[in-house]
Amino acid sequence: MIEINNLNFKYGKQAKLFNELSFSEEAGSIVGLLGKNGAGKSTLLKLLTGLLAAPNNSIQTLGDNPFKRLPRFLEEVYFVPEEYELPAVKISEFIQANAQFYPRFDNEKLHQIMIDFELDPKSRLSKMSYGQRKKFLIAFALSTNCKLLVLDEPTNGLDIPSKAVFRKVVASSLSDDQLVLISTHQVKDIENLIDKLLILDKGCIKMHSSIWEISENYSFTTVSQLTEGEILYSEVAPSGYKVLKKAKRANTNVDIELLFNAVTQGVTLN
Amino acid sequence: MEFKDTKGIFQQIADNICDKIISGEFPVGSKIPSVREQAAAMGVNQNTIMRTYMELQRDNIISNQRGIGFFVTESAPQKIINMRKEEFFDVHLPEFMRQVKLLNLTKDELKPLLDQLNENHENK
Amino acid sequence: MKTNQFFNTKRFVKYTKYSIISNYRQTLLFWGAIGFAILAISLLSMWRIHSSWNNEGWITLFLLGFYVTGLLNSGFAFKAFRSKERTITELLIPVSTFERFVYEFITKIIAFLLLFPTIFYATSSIAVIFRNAIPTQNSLATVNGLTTYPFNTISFEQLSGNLEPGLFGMLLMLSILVFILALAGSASFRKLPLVKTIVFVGLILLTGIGYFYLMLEKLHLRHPWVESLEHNLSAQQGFLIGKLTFASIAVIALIFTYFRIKEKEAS
Repeated sequence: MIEINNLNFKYGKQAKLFNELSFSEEAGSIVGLLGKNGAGKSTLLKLLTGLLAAPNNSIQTLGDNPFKRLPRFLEEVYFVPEEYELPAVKISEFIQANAQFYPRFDNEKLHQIMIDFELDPKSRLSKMSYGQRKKFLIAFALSTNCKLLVLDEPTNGLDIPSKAVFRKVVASSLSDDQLVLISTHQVKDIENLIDKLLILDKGCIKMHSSIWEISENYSFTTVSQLTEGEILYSEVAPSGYKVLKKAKRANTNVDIELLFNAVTQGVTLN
Repeated sequence: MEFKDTKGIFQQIADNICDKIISGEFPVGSKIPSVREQAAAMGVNQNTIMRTYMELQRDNIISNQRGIGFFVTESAPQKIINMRKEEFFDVHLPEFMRQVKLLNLTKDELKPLLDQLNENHENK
Repeated sequence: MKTNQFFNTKRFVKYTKYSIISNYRQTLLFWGAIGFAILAISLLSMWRIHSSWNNEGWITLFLLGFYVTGLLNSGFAFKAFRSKERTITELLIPVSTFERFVYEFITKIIAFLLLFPTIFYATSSIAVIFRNAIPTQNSLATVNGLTTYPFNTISFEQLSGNLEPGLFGMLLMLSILVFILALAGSASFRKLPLVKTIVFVGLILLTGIGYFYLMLEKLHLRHPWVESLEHNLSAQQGFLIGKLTFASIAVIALIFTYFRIKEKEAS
């Protein structure tokens, strides 16, 4: 569904953002895209959705070069950007204007998710708060049933109960032929929602793995003292040290933050 | 020493289902919630739940009837109890014994435990 | 399926519906403001110079309004491209570049050519009704043997009739060219596209005209062809050449606009 081969990219005369970046991903997953500030998460999402031009045809999304922005491509892609501006129309008008473009749009689903998010369909988009508009856009995105859904920092601006609702609606409303890409810094908000991790660092994909594989091959524990041995990475915690070790079927909870810090500090996992 | 760590998400979901089976909420032969229902209720990835169900199926706790759903097997309660016993003797009892020694606990102090053990014995 | 990805009537209709729903408030506001301006200026004109107001006054007002409004209207094209965030939303609407281009061309150029005269005629007629309702001294009704009271509304016949034949067509072509240049500017610049286009095009025109002025008039440099053209060309042929030149530049500007949309990025 997504295929990137040796992508090199930079903005104008700035330093190279991506250096021979490659990865591919198939439908049927919710992928968490993690990276430090300025690592290029939003840029990668824009390249994948055809908002930016990638050199040398290095990206194929849904079988097309995304920058061609062919209608058949665009009607299968929905992107919820971090910052957005919506026209000053009522929710009903927005739906009337936009839903028609998406062949599998599900009105009933939209209304259910709006009820879950406690959104009033009679509201005017310009009068809604940032968080409410974001919830509406997420609801709309899920209702398009597009093959590729891209959510850039979706939980930013969502209040505490809305974050739980967000996880529930995303987890329950997807089918096997869809791929969801979520970029975020709020790891806790999505840790059980995603089933794959994509870590972007220093211009490359440093890790691309399923949570299951990580859980089967590594352990995440807290110890009071660091002992010699298989410790790949450790961090000071209130009760001692958080430790990442290689271990088969340890059945510990995958600590994504610890994993992220390990990977971005050069620990190689394979 | 290692602290008691939170179990992985897969184990958490499995434990939750097993708890409901031995408590009788999901009796033998009954259908457990579908992957999608679980995902909606917990906000957890469907593949994660599916993985857990496959593990439970491998352990013969649930069985898959194609197109219908997952059902609690005949042997599930006994299997779960055996697994829990194993876990008890492997993990919880050694830790309990360690504490008993460390705190120098006596028969009198652990009377509620002894009473319960006697009661369980008579019931068998 | 290749052509389907380039232009599809059904999708074009969807996009039209989308654009109307998303922008009708601003469009109504724009045309409301234009209508109000025409009404106010018409009333003011008939008030201040009522003694000598005639159709020529109307035509002047009309041509001036046509140019200014058309320029503004094209300057408001591709509204979404004015902000980074709306550019993202706009570029992801499932519509082809050509459909987007055709929509903007039809609404900003073709529709304007039909809409402006209609609105001008309607608004100025309302102004005339208002003005005629106000009593005026009879002595002012006839000036130099011409009856100016009651006031009449604009007559477009004079537009093509009184002007030199061919000139009107060339003027029309020139204004369409200007609108299309503004459209190209709207597709290219993010902030203040109209101002930038005017400065940009103005600079090219001024330097170009200055160059040829110096060459032909001050240095008296002539190519034999220019001489023969000056002698043998009738005004009609001159207008025709003008029209064709403007039309070719307009076509180039339209192609340029298409590629600007096609290559648009939302960084």
